[in-house]
Amino acid sequence: MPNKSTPNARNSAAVSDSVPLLTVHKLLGKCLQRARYPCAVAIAVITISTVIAQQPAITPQQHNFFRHVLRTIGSPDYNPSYIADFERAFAQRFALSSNDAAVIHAAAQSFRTAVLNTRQAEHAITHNNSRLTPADGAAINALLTTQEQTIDSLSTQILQGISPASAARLLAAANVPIPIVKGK
Amino acid sequence: MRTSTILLISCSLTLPLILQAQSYTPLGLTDFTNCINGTLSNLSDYQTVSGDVTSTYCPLSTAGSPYSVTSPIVITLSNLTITGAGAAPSDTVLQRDSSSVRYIMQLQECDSPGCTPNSPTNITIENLTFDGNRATVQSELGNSTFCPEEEASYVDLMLDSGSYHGNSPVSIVTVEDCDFNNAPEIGLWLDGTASGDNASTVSHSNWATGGESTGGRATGIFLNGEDSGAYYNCIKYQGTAAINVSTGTTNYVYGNTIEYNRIEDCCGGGQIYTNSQSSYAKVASNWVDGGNIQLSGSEYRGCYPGTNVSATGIEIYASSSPSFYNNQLQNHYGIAVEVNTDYYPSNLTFSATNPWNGSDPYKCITYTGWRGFYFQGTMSNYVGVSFSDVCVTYTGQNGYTGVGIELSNVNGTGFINGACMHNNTGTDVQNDSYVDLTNPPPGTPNTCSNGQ
Repeated sequence: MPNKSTPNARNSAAVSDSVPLLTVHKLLGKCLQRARYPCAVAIAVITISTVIAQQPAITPQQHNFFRHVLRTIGSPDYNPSYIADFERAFAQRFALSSNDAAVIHAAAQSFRTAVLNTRQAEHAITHNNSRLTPADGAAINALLTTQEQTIDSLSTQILQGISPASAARLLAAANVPIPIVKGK
Repeated sequence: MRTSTILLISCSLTLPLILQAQSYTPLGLTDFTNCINGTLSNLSDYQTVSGDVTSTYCPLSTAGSPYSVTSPIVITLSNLTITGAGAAPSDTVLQRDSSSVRYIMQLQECDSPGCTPNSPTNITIENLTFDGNRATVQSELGNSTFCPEEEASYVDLMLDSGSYHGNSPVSIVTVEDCDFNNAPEIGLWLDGTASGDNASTVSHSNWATGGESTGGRATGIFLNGEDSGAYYNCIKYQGTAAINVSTGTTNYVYGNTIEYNRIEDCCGGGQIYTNSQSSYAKVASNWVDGGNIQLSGSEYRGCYPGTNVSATGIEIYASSSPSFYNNQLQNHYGIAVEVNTDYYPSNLTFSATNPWNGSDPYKCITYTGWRGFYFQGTMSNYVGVSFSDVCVTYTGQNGYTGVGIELSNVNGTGFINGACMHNNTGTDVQNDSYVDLTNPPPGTPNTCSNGQ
């Protein structure tokens, strides 16, 4: 299994970093000088860049926080009342609105699908396979890496879909160091 | 530092280690113990050998089918990661085979006087389910005779390298994203001594994920050691406490969701419990819900809990200098916070301010039956107490006339930064005997910053 503390998905940061401010200014300048289509492209680039830049890459610590939320609310295995209780308590403790809760619920359902897909793909590798080969192991690792990357993208989806105040509260909670030491 | 990783389902060793050939168990057979113990043993034998990169694999199981553990999986090595390779913890279930298995997984212990603990350290255990197989254990031992509460006869994940036996623990273990179901007694026993920025932790793990019928008989987490902590776990339906801060110093209980525990208890007690041998415990930002449960005393899963007893949110027994920051305690049938002053707890701090997260939403002690805070004691000793901006509201449920805070045998700083108290059906603060506070309780400020 890939190391969850160092998730591989850094797409949002990569895209944001790939559109430096100077480039944006150049595009704007050309936009003012040229035809409609390049102008639209430039505006689109700026818009996407701005939206993505609002949410920095998910840190390993935030990844672990959101992983637990997604895997608990989105679990295909847990008792439904367990999930409902957790979801209710989570919304209350972070003062989430019904819209915020709906965004998180939707992301968790997407994660549920990802888990089921990973499980099915693993089963295809391991079913009737009495001895896994290194290639089989690598294939399983690749599946799990993809699932971990899904956590990052869904975490970003949550943070961009809920209110800024709620997002700030979740990030503040996720940023509490584990373990807390030196705090005696 | 060399780190080894073991993946369960496929137990692949990713470092240049040469391993003895494993005897593979065909798909469908479920005894996992020999494989994992064999793997760990081989790591021990060959960890200094470098050479060809090889891998070894444990027997497969289909997702959700448990690996039957017929003797404890003993961790003897440092720098080891044991990871379930499934899509979720429930894909890799380690299940106790019978009552002869005291622990499912454990650190190598030092049980005899004068022994030298091996103390493996830097261990990570993740993405696994520990299934204590409570039904089988009780069936084999007899329901009527095996209803333990705090005896540590059975611990599903035992991470204690010595303190329990009088030695100094030095291990640091990380437990993350694991599930604990059906414990016949204790789910997790965590220990360890902090080193630098590292300490033993359990985080993002869940208890009783199958609902009430999968709850453990006794405590969810026994927390020991130095700076060790439980962070952001969800613990439900345990027979006794969710978390027992048992021994050690500066242990953290942070951000956990704790609901409906102490449901098989003889005598009532805290969902979070600070024991007499703990000091400087830090309990912060937890969400604790009692569900207004009061036990009837009737038979429950083969055991007989007490009659008309109920859980408190936090129970403080005799611990030294514990601090409680911004915890939500709600729907407790009788008492939300109980302090037994006869056992000399000292220097208690209650505050609505979270030192580690300034934007943590304000939390309250609310919708309690009889008492929000209850300091009980028969002796004339004092317990130093500081309250800072605490919120106690809507005490007086379940037919009780509720008192927000009942004080006795307390002195010290008392109330600073005000208090938020309203809708307590009796008085907000009741002073009994031996109350000597520098800052007495304020009047009744009816405004709470979060509207609770």
